[in-house]
Amino acid sequence: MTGAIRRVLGAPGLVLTVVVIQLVVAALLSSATKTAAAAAMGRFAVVADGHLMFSISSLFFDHPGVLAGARQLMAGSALLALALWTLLAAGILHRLHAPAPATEVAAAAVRGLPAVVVVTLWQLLPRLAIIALVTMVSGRILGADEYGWLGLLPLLAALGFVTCALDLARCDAVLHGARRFHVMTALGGFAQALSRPRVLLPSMIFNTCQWACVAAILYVSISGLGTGAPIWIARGLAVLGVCFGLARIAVAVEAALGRNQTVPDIAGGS
Amino acid sequence: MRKQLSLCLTLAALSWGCASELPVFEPVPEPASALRPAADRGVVPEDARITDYVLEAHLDAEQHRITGSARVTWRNRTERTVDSLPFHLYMNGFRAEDTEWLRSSHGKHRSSEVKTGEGTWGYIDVHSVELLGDASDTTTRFVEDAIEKPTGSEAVSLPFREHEEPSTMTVDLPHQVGPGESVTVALDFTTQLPSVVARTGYHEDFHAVGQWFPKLGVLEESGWQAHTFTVYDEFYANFGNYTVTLDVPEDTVVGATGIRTGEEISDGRKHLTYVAEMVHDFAWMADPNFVEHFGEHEGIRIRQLIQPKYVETADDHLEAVTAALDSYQARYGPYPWSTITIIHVPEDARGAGGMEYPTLFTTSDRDLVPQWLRRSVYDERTSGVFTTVHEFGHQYFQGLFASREHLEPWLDEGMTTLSNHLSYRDQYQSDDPWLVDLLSQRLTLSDVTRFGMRFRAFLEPLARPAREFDTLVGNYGSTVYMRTGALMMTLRNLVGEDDFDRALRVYCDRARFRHPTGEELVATLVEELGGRVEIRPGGAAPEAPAVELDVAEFLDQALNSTRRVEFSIVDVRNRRLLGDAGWHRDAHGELVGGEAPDDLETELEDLPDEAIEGGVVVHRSGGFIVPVELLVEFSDGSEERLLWDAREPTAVFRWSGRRVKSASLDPERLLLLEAARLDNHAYARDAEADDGLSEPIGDLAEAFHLAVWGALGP
Repeated sequence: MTGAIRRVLGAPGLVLTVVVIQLVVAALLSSATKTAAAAAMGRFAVVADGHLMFSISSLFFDHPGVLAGARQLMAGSALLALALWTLLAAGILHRLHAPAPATEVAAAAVRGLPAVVVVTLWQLLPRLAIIALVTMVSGRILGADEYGWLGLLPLLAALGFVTCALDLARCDAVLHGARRFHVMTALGGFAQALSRPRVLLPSMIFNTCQWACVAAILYVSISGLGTGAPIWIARGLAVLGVCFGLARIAVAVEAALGRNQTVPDIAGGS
Repeated sequence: MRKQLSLCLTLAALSWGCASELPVFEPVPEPASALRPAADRGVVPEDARITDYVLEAHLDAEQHRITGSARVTWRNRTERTVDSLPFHLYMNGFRAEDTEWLRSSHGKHRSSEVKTGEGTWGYIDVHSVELLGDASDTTTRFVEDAIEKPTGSEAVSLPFREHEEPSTMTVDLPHQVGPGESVTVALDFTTQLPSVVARTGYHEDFHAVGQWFPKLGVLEESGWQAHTFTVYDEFYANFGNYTVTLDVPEDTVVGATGIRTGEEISDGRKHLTYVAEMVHDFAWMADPNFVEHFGEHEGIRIRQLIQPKYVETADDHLEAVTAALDSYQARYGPYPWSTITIIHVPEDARGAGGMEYPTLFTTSDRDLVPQWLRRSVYDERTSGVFTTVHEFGHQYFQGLFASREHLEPWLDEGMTTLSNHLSYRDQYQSDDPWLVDLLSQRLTLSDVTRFGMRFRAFLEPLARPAREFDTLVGNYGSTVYMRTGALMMTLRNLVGEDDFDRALRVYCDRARFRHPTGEELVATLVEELGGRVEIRPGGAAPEAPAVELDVAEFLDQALNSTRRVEFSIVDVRNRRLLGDAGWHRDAHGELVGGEAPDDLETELEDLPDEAIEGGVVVHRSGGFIVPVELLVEFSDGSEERLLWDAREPTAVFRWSGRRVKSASLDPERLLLLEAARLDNHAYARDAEADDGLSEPIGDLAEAFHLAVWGALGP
């Protein structure tokens, strides 16, 4: 874990880039919603009298365009996030593996993109199946009071496992010289995750921390809605979440190094 | 070792999947009498007892069919003379696509589709009607006398005819029945239960048996009241005593109106006898899967028949109905009966849920949100317990105050909604208890009510028969339930809680075991509240000018028009106060002066407050005339409250030498009838303030974007 953290700390430019992208996109997209809401309110105002949810609901009811726009932006945001994280994946792996100038990282990202996409698609169905299965089984635990929040652990473990498997498979495809488009490279990620608990465990921990940040963002921003400060806490949590995410990837990079110290020419096919 | 481990895991998984043992709750004994002891039950007027029934029913659980007989003893307590008896055959509403019920429902009731396939229709078929008691016999034959065929009289077969619309029929009598006379008739019938629809029917082994027997109409001085059954209609009958014998499969658990007085088991069948006193209907529900749960409050036995999956929520319902009982008894008088039976219908039989019958009602079940989540993230008071409180409210508003539901549904559903408001306030000790809590962000009862009224609540007048509401318009719920609750709460807020509660109690005392009308409720409120009520701004000094509220006018607008309560701030503006600069004539008639105002070139924000005239323009955009409070905040931090009678559609208020910062209409949120409130508060054009909403919405959107990005990567 410390090695992974060291790798993240050693790449401040990468961290900064990813954080800035995330914060700027969120700010830009949400400002559109805010502007629409302000325009809908016109010169009217609501007073803070404990009926904020009602006021927000009323605004959406009176001006459905505001909600529709917000929803559309949210869907766009999700697609953008998926596209951008996929596009950056190989570059992130490259940079976390070894220091490199930005142009080289960018080039690595572009070159590694096909492999990342193929590995991700090969893993898609098994990932969904595992998560669905665990959700189904752990539904009973979640519904039982005696476990409380602990009921979430199986789900988090499943998410941690499939994410680790994806990280490892991407590493294999991008850094380790595996057959980049072969299904076994993708499925090998699951086998590796299962057979290497010393990789799986820290990866799962970082992944859980990442999800904790997501949950905390929602918790803080909803519970403190209307009081102003929570958005700054949410931004801080988002930065922290990015760091945990990069550390999780760094765990896979470390694991790849453990298997093969040489990094193949990622421009070459296998 | 690995094999052993896998075996253990398999066994654990199997045991996990096995149904756990169902709990058995300590039973509370059946009360000795269907009514509470005289000291506890309040007034039960003897002259309210008009129609008694002796019913027998044999349930064929396979065919979902009831073979039954009824002996009906009716006493004419009017000044009219009649020669026929009209009966409701409500179950025939589900007999064919061309009945009024199915036409008006258009195949849907609440959110449930009506099944109209083979084996799903419901009907009631009356085979014979006989006269048991001579109409000229002035002896009142009530149930005790009529169980056996009266001696000395020959049973006479009576002609009867189902009407073209089959939800009613008429029985012709050989003699007239005059004032004070009585008649006893016996009917044999078969009732086929429909697949669960509109409060009745079957689903697998579950049987909700409501409106299952021929039910006599109500004779009023204006004539018989026996209505065609349509989708929003509910039921109307006289009070009386019921003795009912049920013959059901042995494994069936039964809940019914009244108390159980006998139980015998033979040949795989269970024979149950029930007695109910001073009720106007008798319903029963049967299901072998019911788990019995018991409670008691003030000597009233509270029995729940609950589906196994929801057993753990039984205490929530018990707590809710107990709190409601306390609230209702304090507000509307003693609950007269000795039992309350709460039925939890199966998940796939929700069409039978949320319905009231005397001393028995069906509820809905709580969303099974685990307690740990309720404590920390999301909680609600809308599912399950809300229905329990509402349906229990009907034990008063209709069960006890037996209004004509089909003609004045607002008096039944609407007043019950009001009673829910008050019960929740009592239970949660809050003027506006929350119904939904998501991470401390709450929607309150008033929020939900206002929001509910946004859905077509003002398209049609409120006080109209149920049959005039059209499912295509889809405004029955928002109009009858939400709007009535809101109008009564608005009136209560305006005239004062104590006065309103006292006036309502007078109505309740008068309506007990009677058939009250909306007119009587309005008259009582006007009479008790005093017709014209002086209203003063909230929080203002007693010497502040008052405005009169005409209670009758308020109720007339609320009930008989489509006028909305809707106010808005048109403008909040500060302008330079005009002085006396310019030309004036002096004492000699000469024009003097002509100088420009000193502060003409000064920017408005730089002028001292004394040089400012503040103004607020308010508008009544809805047609409903009702006084509204205006709260004005000035730039020096002071406030002024005043009342606007809203007789004119627009009003302008000015303050010389004061700079207005903001203005709020109805700041205390008294006018619950006002559904839309976003235009009730505005800042002055020259005041710096945010709208209070776009910022939180923007923050929330940003947080969601951050969460999405965090969840999807890197």
